[in-house]
Amino acid sequence: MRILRSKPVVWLLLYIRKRKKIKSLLPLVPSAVWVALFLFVPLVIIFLYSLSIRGEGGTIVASFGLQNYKHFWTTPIYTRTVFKSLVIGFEVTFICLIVGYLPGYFLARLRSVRRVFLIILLIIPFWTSIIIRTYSWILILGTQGPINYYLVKWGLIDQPIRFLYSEFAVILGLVHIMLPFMILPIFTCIDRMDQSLLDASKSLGAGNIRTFFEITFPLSLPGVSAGCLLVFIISVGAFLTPAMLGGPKDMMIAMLIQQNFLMLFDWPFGSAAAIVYLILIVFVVFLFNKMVGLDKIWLSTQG
Amino acid sequence: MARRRRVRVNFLLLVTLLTYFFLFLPIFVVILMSFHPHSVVSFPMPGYTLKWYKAFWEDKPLIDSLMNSVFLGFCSSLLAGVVGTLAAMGFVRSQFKGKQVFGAIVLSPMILSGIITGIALLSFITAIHVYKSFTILVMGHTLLTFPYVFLVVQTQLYGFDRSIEEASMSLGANEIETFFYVTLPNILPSIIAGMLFAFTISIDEFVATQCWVTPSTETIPIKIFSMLRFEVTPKVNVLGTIIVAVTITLPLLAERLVARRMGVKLARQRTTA
Repeated sequence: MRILRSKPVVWLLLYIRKRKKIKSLLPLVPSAVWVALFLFVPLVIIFLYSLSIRGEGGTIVASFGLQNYKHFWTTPIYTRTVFKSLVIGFEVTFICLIVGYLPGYFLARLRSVRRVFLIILLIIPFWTSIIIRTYSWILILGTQGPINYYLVKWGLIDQPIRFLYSEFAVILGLVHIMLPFMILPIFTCIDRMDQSLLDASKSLGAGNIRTFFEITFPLSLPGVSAGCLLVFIISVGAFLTPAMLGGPKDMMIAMLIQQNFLMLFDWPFGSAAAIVYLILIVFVVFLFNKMVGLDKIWLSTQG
Repeated sequence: MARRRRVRVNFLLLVTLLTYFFLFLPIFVVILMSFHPHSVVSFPMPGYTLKWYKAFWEDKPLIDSLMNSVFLGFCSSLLAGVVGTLAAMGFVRSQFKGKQVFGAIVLSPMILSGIITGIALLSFITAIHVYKSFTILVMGHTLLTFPYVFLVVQTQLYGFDRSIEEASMSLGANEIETFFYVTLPNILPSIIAGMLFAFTISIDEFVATQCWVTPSTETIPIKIFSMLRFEVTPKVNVLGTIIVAVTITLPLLAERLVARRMGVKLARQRTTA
């Protein structure tokens, strides 16, 4: 590594060493440039597109007008898409919370090798291909799939039910993907709780259930909020699950953006939809910050 | 009292096991169905066969796109390793105004819908008159995956003992030498772990990738999605089984690397204490 001792390198280092501030910030440059160049500058371009008009053959005619946004808000199909995305986001978040709280609590209470094993098991589906897991629900829920087979066999239904291509299938698929995002923050939060608080509560005469509701549950709320925020934001922007498991009525906003960009080549309108989505997300995060405080969540998830 | 406690714990265990069953069901079904003898899958299984594995192996376009995905994952996880590690170093070791905002911005590609990242880069290259290519795919996948490297490396850096760096500097090494000879070997396990995560994400990414692919750079998720549209073929189950095997092995390997490192650190702390 002779080059590290060469004159230019040493001069550069001496120059940087004199300026402490620059020195500590230098490593941030590549990531900042990457995100700025490929995400934030393009978002400005997309905003400009959203004010333009679609020309012949998918070209973009530059102009400054809100016609795309007006078209968006006055067409019921599009407003319904936004509404549907939010409703599905809420439903998925709610179900994940109900289903995911107890496993998170259980894992945090375990004190043995089994706990490490169960955590690793929880991470496996988390990292397994989303497209394959979503596709698998088509096999499972299909009219010839195992669920319909057993329902018919046990005499619960006469005819196979058509589960697929419905809001039910979309929600099931999303809950399946988002569940670890809810369980892990709840687990982390309860796990790092001060054990002596529980002992104090019990020694003062509170039972297990009362201790849970007055100590454990309130203290787990930062984890719950972190999980809810993550699950809600990611499921509102879901694309694959509604595209693969949903019917025509289950169009969500990410699909609307994709359609306009890649199939209809109406980039100005697609851009307007993207800006609407971004405003929604920023609004949700802002609201959350007002109500719960993001820094508290940030702290609670720092493992 | 003791009896009631036992019942409650068992109830929790039952709920947890059911949740795990729910999480693992699709994975098991794909693996099981890859041995299904008919081209339209049905339940119960009429028999078992390996013929779809053979058919998969002989499907050249499919293998090509799999190779393309692997190469893309390799390139973008290397780049993500560099960008993410530097970002983590800068982030942990500096204090500046708006640090939290910077953190949120760096992590935003993880949370925003993939379609936003997709159309963002697409609009950018269109605006500067650059055509879609493999290079663009690598750039985009790096954007999507470096936050994972950032997160993993950042966690380890918080517990990093800086006195060994000071020792290196006081013995006459400059900053860059110290980084390559002292810092890097110490944080390497978490960098590799982060890069394995990045690779996994890259192999699986569909939503943003669909904005950047050309017919000659099709990745495996794009191929799967179009296969499901036009032809139902059990080869998808085989592919799914292979992807499941890869995406399970790599993160486990990553976990092991991080865990072993932590074990070493704990042991060292114990001996110094």
